[in-house]
Parts: sequence; structure tokens; C-alpha cells
Amino acid sequence: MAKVVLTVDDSASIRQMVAFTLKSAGYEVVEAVDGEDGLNKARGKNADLVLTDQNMPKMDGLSLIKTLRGLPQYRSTPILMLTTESSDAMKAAGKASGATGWLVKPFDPQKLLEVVKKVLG
Amino acid sequence: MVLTSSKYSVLIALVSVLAGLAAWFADPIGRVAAIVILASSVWFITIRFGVEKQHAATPPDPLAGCRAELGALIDELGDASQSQAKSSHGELDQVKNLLQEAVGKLVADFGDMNVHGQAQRELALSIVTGMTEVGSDGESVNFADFVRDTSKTMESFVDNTVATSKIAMGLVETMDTINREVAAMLGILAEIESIAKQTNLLALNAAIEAARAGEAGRGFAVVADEVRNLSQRTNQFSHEIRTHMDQVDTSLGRAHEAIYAVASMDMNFALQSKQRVQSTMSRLESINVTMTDAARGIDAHAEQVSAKVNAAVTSLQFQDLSSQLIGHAQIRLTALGTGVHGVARAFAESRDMISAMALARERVAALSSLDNTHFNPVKQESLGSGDIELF
Repeated sequence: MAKVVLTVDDSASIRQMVAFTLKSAGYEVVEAVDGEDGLNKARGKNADLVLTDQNMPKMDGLSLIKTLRGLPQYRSTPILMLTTESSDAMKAAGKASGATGWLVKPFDPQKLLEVVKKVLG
Repeated sequence: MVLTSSKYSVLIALVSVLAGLAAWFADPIGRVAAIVILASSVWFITIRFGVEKQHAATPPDPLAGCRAELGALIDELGDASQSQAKSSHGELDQVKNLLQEAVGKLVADFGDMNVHGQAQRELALSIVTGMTEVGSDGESVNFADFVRDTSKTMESFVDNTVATSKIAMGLVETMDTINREVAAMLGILAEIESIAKQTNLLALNAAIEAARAGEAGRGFAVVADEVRNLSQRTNQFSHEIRTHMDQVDTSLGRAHEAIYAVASMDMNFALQSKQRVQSTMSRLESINVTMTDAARGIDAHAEQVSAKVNAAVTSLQFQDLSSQLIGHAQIRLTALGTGVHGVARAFAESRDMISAMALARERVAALSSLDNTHFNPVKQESLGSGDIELF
């Protein structure tokens, strides 16, 4: 069965690019438009990987990660941050909230696939 | 300036008093000096206060008469800056929407391109592997094998034809020999017939001689009769053999004709066919090689297209970066409009100049410290793909 990836980003084009990249490699992709939507969709469908942006309306990426880590089914699910933010302080905050990795935009589809493959084992 | 001058004047006055006291008790020269110091002090203070008076007397207020107009102008500036900021905000929103729509379509198109590229690669690869299909007999069939098999079959067919022709030529010779033998046998048969004929004649003579001998020749007449019967039977057999031999001869003649026809068939046709088949097969083989090379080329190009699509997808993320930057610039614009408007309103809202200035300064400070509350989320200055860090 195809692994499910939840992509959370307020930019429609980024969601589209992530979806097209991952779908072409055989993953099932669920899209969410902000942190809150991401949380609801994560609760509704057990994702094998969450890929989230940081700056979003309603709920940002760090808050989403913290909330997800509080849910039993997402305690050890890989969660990757995909954001324009590249400062060490933000990365440290991401690591502290339980992120598995940090990807700075723009992403190279090939490299994204490699990372996704790696964290999904 | 006024305060400093007055301090300075007090100091000079003090020095003058001390100089006056010194002059009172001093000698005439000292008195003269004291009077000079006193006079110069008075002159200095007069000049000093005179200048300040002059300063105070210069045009009292350059804005006199324009204050109301200036106030209205500041208000207008405030309103204009806010309305411009709002319009710019709207236009930037429009830019963001246009970018989003265009990039959305581009990404969809590139996605389709990748799907078609993938399909193209699969087709090219199926040509490269030579349309490998497993037949009902479980054996795989590909083009090169087909060419090889056909070539081999054609070759063995032509070889067999040539071999048959050679054998037929050998048979023609054998047939000639048989014909000669049959002719010889027919000759011998004629000899036998002639012997039978002579024997018959001799038996007839013997019977005549026996009749002439009378009683004594009766036994001999029986023998002569038997000899005659024998010669007649011999003649009859000889006739039968001749009939069969004639049939054999006719059949041999037909067989000879047929074999001769096979043997004298033009073998050039078979040899030419062999050459044609060989050249056609080698052409097919080279077409196959060209086709395989072309398919490999198509595959390589499709792979390139795929890589370029990936690069395009990376570049197209400029829209996300730009939108965030535009969003941040919009925050700055709004703050700028609100700031300028707020500073203008400070003068309209406050009762006196001091509180108006204080309020205006506060609002300018808020504008200046915008970067401490709203961080620019985009530090990227190029579209090279970003760092990846796994914790």
C-alpha cells in the first residue's frame, strides 16, 4: 500500500509541486492549507510523513509539530519542515519541537524524494 | 545660548568688580589698567546683549500666517500616504494572485510534461529491450532473434535446394547407365528370340526326318515335338519379357526427363535468393541497431526533459518566495502609511505642541522598530535549492 504524506503549506503552488513530485514516485499525498487544517487532516488520516511550512495563518509549523508530537499516533512519525526560514535559531526551535529534519526552500524535487525515501525507511 | 552668554557676562562682571577693587588700592598705572579692563568688559557685555537682541529681533516667525495651511497640508500628507499605501497593498495583492495563478498553471503543465516524459521513457525502453515478449511456448521473442532465425532458415532452404540439384545431376548419369543396360538387355532378348526361332526350325526339320525314318524314328519324333514346344514357350516368354522391358524403358525415359528437368534447373536463382535474403537480413539487423540506438537516444532525452522539469519546479518556487517577500513589503507599506498618517494626526489630536511632538516621536519610533516585531521570512537571494538538515 502506498505511503501517505501530508503536505501542509498556505502556498497552493508549493502544495501542488510537492504533490506532483511525491505522487510521481508512488506516494499518496494529502494537502492542507494551514496548521489547523493540517492538524485536522492528520487526525483524520494516519499519515506516514508530515511535510510542513513554518509561516502560515491560523497555526504555524512549529505549533503544529508540537501539537502532533502530543498525539500518540504521531509520537514517532517523521515530520519535516519545508520553509523559507533558514536561521540557526529557527532550526534549533524546530529540533526542540520535535521536527525530524529541516528543508530550506526552494526544494529540488529529486532531493526531496531522496529525503522522503530516507526518513520513511 | 542666552544662558551661556549671561553666565559669561556674570563672570566678566565679577572680573570687572575685582579689577575695580584692585584699581582702588593700586597705583595710578594699575588704576588705568583696571579702568581699561572695566571699559572693555562693559563694551563686551553691551555687544553680547546687543547681538542677542538683534537675534530676537530677526523675523519673528517664518511660518506666521501659514500655520493653518501647514496643518491642513500635514493632514493631507497623512491621508495621502495612507491611501497610497492601501492602493499599493491592493496592487501587490493583485501581483501575488497573478503570480499564483500563472505558476499554478505552469506547475500543472510541467507535471503533465513529466508524465508524458515518463511514458516516453517506458516506450523507448521497450524498444531497446527488443519488444521482449514471452510467447505461448515460454520462449522470449525479440527482433534480433527473429532476424537470426529467419536468416538461418532461408540459408538451409537454399542449401537444400542446391544439394537436391546436385543429387539430381548424379541421378541423370545413373539413369543414362540404366538406359544403356536396358538397351543391352533388349539386344540379348532379340538374340534369345532368334535362337528360339532357329530351335523351332530345327525341331520342325527333326520331325520331318523322324517321319521319314518311319517306325524307328517314332521316339525321335516325340523329342522333336517337345523341342519345338520348348522353343515356342521360349519365344512366348521372350515376348512377355520384351513387353515388360518396353514398359520399363518408357518409364525410365519419363523418369530421366523429370530428373533431367530438376538437374538442369537454374541454380543461380537459388544462389541469388540466398544473397538477397542475406543482404535483407543484414539490413534489417542494421535497422534494428539504428532503432535501438534511436530508442536509447529518446530515453536519454526524456531523462533530460525530466531533469529540466525538476529544475523548473525548483525555479518556480520563486512565486512562494516572492509572495512572502511581497507580503512582508505590504506590512512595511501599511506601517509606513499608518506611521505617516499617525504623525500627521498627532498634531491634530494633541492640545499643545509638546504633547504633539511626543506622540509623533512615539509613532516614528514604532515605525522604525518594525523590523523587531515583523521579521522578513525570506533571506534567499538566489534560487539555488536550499539546505537540507536531518536532526
